[in-house]
Amino acid sequence: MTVKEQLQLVVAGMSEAEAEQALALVNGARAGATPVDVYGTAWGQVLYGVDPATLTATGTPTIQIPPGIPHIA
Amino acid sequence: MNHDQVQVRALAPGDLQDLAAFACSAGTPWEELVQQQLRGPLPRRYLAAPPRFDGRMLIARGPDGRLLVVGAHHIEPTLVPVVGYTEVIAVAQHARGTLIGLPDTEQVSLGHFMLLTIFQQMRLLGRHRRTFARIDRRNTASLALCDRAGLSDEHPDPHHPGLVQRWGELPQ
Repeated sequence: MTVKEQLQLVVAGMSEAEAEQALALVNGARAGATPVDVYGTAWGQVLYGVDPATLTATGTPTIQIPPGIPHIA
Repeated sequence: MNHDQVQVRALAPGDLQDLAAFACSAGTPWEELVQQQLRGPLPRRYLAAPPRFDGRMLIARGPDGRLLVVGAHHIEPTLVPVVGYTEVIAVAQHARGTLIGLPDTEQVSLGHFMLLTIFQQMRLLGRHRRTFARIDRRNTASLALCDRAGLSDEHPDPHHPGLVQRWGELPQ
């Protein structure tokens, strides 16, 4: 079976919504465009210029996640 | 509203219609920017995010199905483990002031609830323990939210003088 045939089988098993999402992913990947954030900075560039010390974990969390917060996979 | 009355899930193409009319701005420049992005390109940007950025947009709806709050985060793949960047938290105008009841703790705002949900997802995904958001310096409400949520370490943003970066550390 060719890759295109495998792809057709995968698409045939998708709902319309899943296919729409998959198409958006394919189009985005084919376009090769790097997304930018709401401030116009390219994704993947946001940490450039940040003091490396900022990225060093101290082992002491500043964030507490209380019970009742959803687990979204 | 109790926490189990809020349904949070990943953005799906079927949500785009609701987002096109999403109102989260009271007129400030930073709110207008986010509202314009959410009504326009941002959701599709997340749906089509290249895998290396693992873009995730979460939406939360209330018991009546109305959209309450939107959050979006992706990774900045410079380090291993990758660093999670919370790009947007936006509360619907009609839901402003709503508090969410959590077990064993005080109530939290909808924005705080979504930010904690993002942190929970980052933790589950094994992100770098250091995480951050970028905030307009004039946006005192979001800066206060960062303080409450543990993003309290402030640094200038190297790309934009009008922004600050707020950093914090996730629990294991």
